Amino acid sequence: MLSLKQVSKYYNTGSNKTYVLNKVDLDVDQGEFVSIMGPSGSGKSTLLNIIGMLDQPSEGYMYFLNEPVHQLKEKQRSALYKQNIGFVFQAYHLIDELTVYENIETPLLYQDVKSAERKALVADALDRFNIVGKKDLFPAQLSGGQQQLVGIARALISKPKLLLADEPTGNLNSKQGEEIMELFKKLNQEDKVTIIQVTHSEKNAQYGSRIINLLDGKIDSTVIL
Amino acid sequence: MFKNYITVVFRSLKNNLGFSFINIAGLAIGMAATVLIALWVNNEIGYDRFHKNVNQIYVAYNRSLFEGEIRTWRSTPSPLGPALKQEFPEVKYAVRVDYNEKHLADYQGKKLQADGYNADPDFLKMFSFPLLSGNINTCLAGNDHLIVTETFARKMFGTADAVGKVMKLDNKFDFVIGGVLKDMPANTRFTADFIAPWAFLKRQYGQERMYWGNNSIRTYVQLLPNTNLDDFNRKVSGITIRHSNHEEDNRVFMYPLKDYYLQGVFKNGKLEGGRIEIVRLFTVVACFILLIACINFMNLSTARGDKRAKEVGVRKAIGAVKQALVAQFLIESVIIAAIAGVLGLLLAQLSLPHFNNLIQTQLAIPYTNTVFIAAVVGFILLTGLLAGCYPALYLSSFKAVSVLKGAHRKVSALITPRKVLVVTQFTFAVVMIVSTIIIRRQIQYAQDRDNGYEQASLLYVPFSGDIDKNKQLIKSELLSSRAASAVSITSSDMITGNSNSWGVEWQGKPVGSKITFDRMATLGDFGKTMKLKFVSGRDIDPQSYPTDSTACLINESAARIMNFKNPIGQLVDYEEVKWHIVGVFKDFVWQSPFESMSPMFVTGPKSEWSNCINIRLNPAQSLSVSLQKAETIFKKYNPAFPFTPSFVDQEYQRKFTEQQRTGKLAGTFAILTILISCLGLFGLAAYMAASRTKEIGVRKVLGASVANVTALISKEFLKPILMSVVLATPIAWITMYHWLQNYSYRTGIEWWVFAAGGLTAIMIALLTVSYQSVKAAIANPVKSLRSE
Repeated sequence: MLSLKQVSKYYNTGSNKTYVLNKVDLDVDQGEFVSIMGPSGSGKSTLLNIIGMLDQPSEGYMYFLNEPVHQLKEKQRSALYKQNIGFVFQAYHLIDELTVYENIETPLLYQDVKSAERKALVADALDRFNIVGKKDLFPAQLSGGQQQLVGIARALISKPKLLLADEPTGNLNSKQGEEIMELFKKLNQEDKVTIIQVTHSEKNAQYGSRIINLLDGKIDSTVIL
Repeated sequence: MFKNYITVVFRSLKNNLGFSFINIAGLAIGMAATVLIALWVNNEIGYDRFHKNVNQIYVAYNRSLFEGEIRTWRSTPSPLGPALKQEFPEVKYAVRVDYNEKHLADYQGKKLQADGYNADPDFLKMFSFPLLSGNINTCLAGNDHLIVTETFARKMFGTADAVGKVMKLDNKFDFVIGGVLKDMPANTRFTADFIAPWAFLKRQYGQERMYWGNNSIRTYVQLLPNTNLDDFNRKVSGITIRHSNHEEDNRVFMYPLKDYYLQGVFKNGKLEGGRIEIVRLFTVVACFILLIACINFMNLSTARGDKRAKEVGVRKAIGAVKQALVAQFLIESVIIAAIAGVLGLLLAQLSLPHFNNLIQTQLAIPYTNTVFIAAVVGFILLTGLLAGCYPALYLSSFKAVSVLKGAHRKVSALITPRKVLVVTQFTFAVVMIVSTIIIRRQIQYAQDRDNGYEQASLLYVPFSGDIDKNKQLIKSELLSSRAASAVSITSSDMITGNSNSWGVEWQGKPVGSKITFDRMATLGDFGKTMKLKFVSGRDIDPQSYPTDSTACLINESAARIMNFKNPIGQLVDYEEVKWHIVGVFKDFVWQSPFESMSPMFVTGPKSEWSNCINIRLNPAQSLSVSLQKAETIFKKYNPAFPFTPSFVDQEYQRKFTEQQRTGKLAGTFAILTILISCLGLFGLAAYMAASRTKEIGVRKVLGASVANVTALISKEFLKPILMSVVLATPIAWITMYHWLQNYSYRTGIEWWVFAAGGLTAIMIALLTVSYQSVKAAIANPVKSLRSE
C-alpha cells in the first residue's frame, strides 16, 4: 500500500547538508502493524510525518495506494490524505474549544460529510470507544488516557486505511498505555487497519508485526515478529 | 462547518474573557467614534444641499477692491434681486432674504416670541421646504400673509390647521397664516418660526429703500437649467455699477448654493476653503481612530498566534486545507467585528445626546436608512476582513509538523511589525494631545485679551414695540430710579459687530482710499456706560455740550489711520454731516476676539440711528434689585413685550463657541485615541510577557531582581513611544500652525506643549505596560521553566 524510494530529508546548515533521513527505502503492505524504533534524533518522527504527508521529503519518491505522492498538487495530496490516513499524537492535540463530540466530528466536516451521516458515525465511534458519557466534556476535563482515546476515535472516524501514531503512549502511565496498545492490536486484527507507530518502548513495539530500527536517518535493521 | 467555526469563536471568546473584552471594546469604541463623526460630517456636507433645485440655485456675492485687497462678501443691496429677474431671461427666480429678527406674536391673547425673516414670494418655489397646508402660490402673497413652521403652529394654535387664522406681530401688524411648513432640517441656514413676505418691510417702515449702496440682505437666484455660469457672471458683473451710476464699484457674481456653506471663504478674491477644512480634519480623525482600532484588533489577534498555532496544526493534521483555515479565521474576525459593531452602535446611541450637546446640534442615527445600514454592514465586513486577513494568512501558513512538534518559535519575528503599529497609534495620540492643548491655549489667549471695556453688570435691551418711542423717558427713569449708573442708547449692542462703512471722509484721506470703519451711533454717554478708556478728549455728552449733536468718537486705530497730529476738534465728513471729534478711545473688541481690531467711528445724536439701550447697572445695589427696577420701567413704557435683557459678559462668551466646540471635539477624540491605543498596548504587553516567560524565568534563576525584569520589559515599549513623540512633533506643529493662521490674534506654539504631550503619552503607556511587566517579573521562575 505504501512505498518509499530513496527518500531523504535534509536541512541546510551553513554550507553543509544535515541529513535527518538518508536514502530510505520502505514498503508497507495492507494490514501490517509496523513499529518504528530508534534513539532520539534518528529520524523516526520525520519518517512518520513524511508517510503521513505532513512533511515533504527533500529527495526521493513516495507511492501511496499506487499514487505518486511526490507528483501530486497540494489539493490532491490533501484529498488523498483526508480519506485514507488518520493521525494520533503523543500530546493528543485535541482542540481545546471543542467538546469530545465536536473534536471527533471535525475531520468529517473537512470531508463535507452530510449532517445525518456525521451524527451516525460519531455516535458509533463514541459507542465503540466507550466514551458516550464524556461526549459533552471539553479536553481539559479528561484524563490523559481518555484524551488519547478521543484522539484515536478522531483519527479513525473517517475510516482510514492507514493509522499513524507518534508515540501514542508517551504521555500516559503504563496501565493506560497498555490499554491503548491493546486497542491498536484489536484495530489491526479485527478491523484490518494498517498501523505505523513510532515508539521508544520495546514492549509496545512487540504488539506489531514488524519492527524497523532507525539509526542516523538510515534503516539499521528490520525484525519480523 | 460554519457552525463549528462559530462555536469555536464564542467558546474561545468566553475562555479568554479579559482578552476578548480588550479586543471588542477597542473596536467598539473606535466604531462608535467613527459613527458619530460620520453623522456629523454627513450633516455638514448636506447643509442646504437637500433642495431639489440645488444645482440651479446660486448665492449672489459682491467683490470689490479695498486698499489693494479684494474683499468678497454675500450681503447685497435690496434692488439687486428684482433687477436680476427683470433684466436676465436666464433667471427663473430671484429671492431676497433678510435677517432673522425676534418679534412678538399674538393670537387671541396668547403671546409668543417668534423668530422670523422676510422673503420674496418665490421663496418656496426655489427652496424645498414642503408645505403641510396652504397654497404655494398664495401663502406669501400680498403684504399680509405669512407662513409658520409646524412646531410653531402647534405651539401657537394647538393641533388645529393654522391656515386662515389671524396672528398679530409686534402688537401692530395683522397677518393671515397662509401656510404651515414642515419643520426644517437642522442643516439649513433658513431656520425660523415664521417667514413673512418681503412687502412686510414696507408696512413696517412705510417705504422700502431701494438703494444700491446699502449691502445688507441676501439675494438668491435660480437660473434656468443649462445656463452657463461663467457667461452669466460675465453679464451680471457690472449691474450694481450701472444702476448706481458708478457711485458703487462692487462687481456681482453668483456662487453655487451647494458650495457656499463648506467653501465660502474668499481671501483676496480667491477661494480659500472655509468650513470644509474642519470637516476634512475630523474626517481624517475618524479614519485614524478606526485605523487605530483595526490595528489593535490585528495586533491582539496575532498576539494569540502561539495558542492558535496548535489549533492550526491539529486542524491541518486532521484534513483541513489552507483555504478552509483562512475562511475560518476570516469568519471569526468578521463575527468579532460584528459583535463590536453592534456594541459600537449601542455606544454611539448612548453617547449621542452628549455628543449633540457638545457640538450643539441634533443628530440622530438613521437606523432605517438603507445607505446607513449598508455602510455599517460594509464597515463591519471591511474591518473584520482587514483585521482578520493578517492573522488568517499568517496563522494558516503555519506548518502542521513544526507547530505540533513545538518547534514553532517564529512568533517573536512579529514583534517588529507590531511595534510599527504601536508607533503609528501613539504618533496619532500625541498629535491629538498636542493639538488639544494648543486649541485650548488659543481660546484662553483670546479670552484673556483686554477687550477694552467693562463687561460685568453691563446689559442691553434691543428695541421692540414702544421702546423706540419712549427711549429717552426710559433712560432718564432708569437713572433717576438708581437702577442704572449709566445708560447709552446706541445703534447696536457691544456684541454684534454688524455695521461698517467706507464712506468716511477726512482731511488728508488718500484719494481713492476705501478704508472701512466699524460704525456705531449713540445718543450720548457711550464711553461712560461702556467704561471705555479714553486716550484723549471726552465722551459724547449732549446734555452738557449742546453742539455734541454732531460730535463723534474714534478709536485709536482710526486715529492712527486718519493721521491727525491732534485729533480732538478735527472734522470728519460722513453722510453729509461734518462731525467733530471730541474723543479718542482705546480699541475695544466688537467683532471676533480672534481678529485684529478695526478702526471705528462712533457718531453722535445727529445720526438718529438707534436700536438698543445699553444699561450699566448701579454697582451700589444688588443685581436683582436693579433688574427688578429696570423691568418695572420697561413694562411701563413697553407693556406688550416681555423684558428680556442680554448680559454682555454672557453674550461675549458665545464668540468662543465655535473654537470651544473644536477644542472639546479634539479633547474627546484625544482621550478616545489614547484609550484605544492603551487597550492595544496592554494586550501587546501581555503577549510579550507571555512569550518571554522562559527568558524571564532563566534571568531570575540567574539572579535578576523584580526591578531588573520590570525595567527590561518596560524599556522594550519605551523606544516605540519615544519614536512616536519624535514623529508626532512635526505633524502636530504643521497642523496647528496651519490652524492658528485662521486667527489674526493668536498665541504662539511653544516647545513645552510638545514636551507635555509626549510626556503624557509616555506616562500613560508605561503605566499600562507596568501591570504586565510587574506580573511577569514576580512570577515564580520554577513554574515558568517547567511549563516549557
